[in-house]
Amino acid sequence: MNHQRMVLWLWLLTGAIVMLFFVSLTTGRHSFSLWQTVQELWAREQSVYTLILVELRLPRSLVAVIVGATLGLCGAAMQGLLRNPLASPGILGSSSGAALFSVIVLYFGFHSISPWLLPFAGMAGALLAIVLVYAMSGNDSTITTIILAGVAINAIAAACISLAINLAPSPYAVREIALWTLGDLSKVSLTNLWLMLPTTLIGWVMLSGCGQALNALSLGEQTAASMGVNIARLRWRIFLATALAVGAAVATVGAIGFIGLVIPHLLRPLVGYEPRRLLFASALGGAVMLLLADIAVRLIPSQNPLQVGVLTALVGAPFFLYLIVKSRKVLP
Amino acid sequence: MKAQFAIAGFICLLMPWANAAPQRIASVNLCTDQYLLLLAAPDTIATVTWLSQRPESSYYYERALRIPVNHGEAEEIVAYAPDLVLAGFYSARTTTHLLQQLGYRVELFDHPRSVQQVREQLRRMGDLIGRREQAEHVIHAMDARLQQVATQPAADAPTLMQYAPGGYTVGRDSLVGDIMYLAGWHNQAENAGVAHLGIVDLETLLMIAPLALIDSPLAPDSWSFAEQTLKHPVLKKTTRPKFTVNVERNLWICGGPMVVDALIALRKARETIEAEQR
Repeated sequence: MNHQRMVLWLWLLTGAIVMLFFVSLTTGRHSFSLWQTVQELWAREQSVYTLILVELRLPRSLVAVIVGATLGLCGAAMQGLLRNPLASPGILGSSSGAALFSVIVLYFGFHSISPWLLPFAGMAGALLAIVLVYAMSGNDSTITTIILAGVAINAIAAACISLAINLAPSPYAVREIALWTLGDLSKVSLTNLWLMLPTTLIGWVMLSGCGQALNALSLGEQTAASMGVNIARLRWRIFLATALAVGAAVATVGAIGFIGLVIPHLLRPLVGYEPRRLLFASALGGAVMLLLADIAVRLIPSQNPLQVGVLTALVGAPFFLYLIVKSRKVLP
Repeated sequence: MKAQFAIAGFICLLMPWANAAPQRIASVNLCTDQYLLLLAAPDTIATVTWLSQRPESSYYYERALRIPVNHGEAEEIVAYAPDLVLAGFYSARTTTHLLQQLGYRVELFDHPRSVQQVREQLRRMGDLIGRREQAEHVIHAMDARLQQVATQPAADAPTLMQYAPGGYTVGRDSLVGDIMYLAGWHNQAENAGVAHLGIVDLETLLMIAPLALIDSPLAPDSWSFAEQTLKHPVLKKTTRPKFTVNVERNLWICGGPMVVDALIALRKARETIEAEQR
């Protein structure tokens, strides 16, 4: 892979994020001039448009970028760590673990103790799920065992989420069961953004330093160990970082699936199959995918608002099937 | 002649049976519960829904506390061997279908969309349970109170909108909408094109900018994503909606004479806000 072409691709992805971010700011039920509204903001005038822009569309677009990047990045890190094309936050249960803990905090009044409890609950749920999957499948697990362990954890978490919401005191809770598994960005506020940002950033920083070790790991565990990589430490570092970032993301917008699975796959050839470069590229790609999906749900006309996770699943699930078929051909 | 006497006698014999008021009435809908608790003799009510015992949703909850409750399941209802089952059009549909198939007498009530429909439903309920006189009495008392307080929105009436969890709102063609109208408010949901029931997102709410929002919580202090819409920080920053009008949910979730109290609450709030605006 030509180095220049790879750099070009990364710039293209960055450009796409910037462009889609502005499209996201101008997309909504009401259209108004973005330029004029920014000028109003500059002059410190408050109007309906400045409120819609700053309080509704800006947090929504920023959270789309941050959550998309988190999912892409964590997917790439997990695939690199487990050297398994089917690993992703959604499939290995960390998303549903985070969703379960968030549901408990949200619907049963713990939220009022401190709003900061929410991202940490999401993180704890995500971490617990990953550790359980890892404990169940063991160290030298095959693709099948990891996927099966993930399926089991996902099933348990989904059942517990349904149970929790059924028992929740709010009369609206039962209707919202489906929403948690499908994710939604439409109610995000700047407060949500500030709450999720610290844990997300810590997760990103922890993951960004893992590139070299993941490169070494792609040659096999023994080779990596001989090159001075502490595999056990790397594993815990990635588990913890993923839990921090994915936990905060899920606690804020619900479990949006398949971005962490699809994006690293699509981008791997573009970065010359190098795990270290894939981390950054997947973060960019994840942001692009979630921005696109969130713009699409606002443009598709429908009686009730569409969930953004519906679109990512409609794209991601067939891709997952394709990967399974492909991996069957490759494996003995 | 003999035959005619015989027929007349047979009809006379049938009459009391045909006219006999139901003695074991079951209700599987909160709103038919309310009519029943208001009009029926307590010993003729076999069962009402569990919601009727909750003060936040049921205006006559104290009367319901003495009556066995159901959760709208056909099995529960059959156990009471009711001679009349009252149900809503949209709730417990499987139960009502099943009971109809089993030959029970099931009467369906739609949710009233105006004060006039409340009157009609009270009369119908009175006829069904043999208490027409009580129903007329209730309607008469309700109308006497209405005459004192009901009005119509002035041309420059302030704007109000119901904004329920999930962004749900109502237009003129609804009980809440009718009460807003009779309390002299302009319902701003109509400017968003809502005639009966609709969803208004936050962006649209900021655009149509009603002066006041109605806060009428179904379950105060609970948490859900739907309820979060009402707590979005943007609603604290905007200058419109400026006021919040509180109305007890149980005053207008169903039809009945208590809707006049909801009307009075709305009218008082309007007068206070108008005085403040001047």
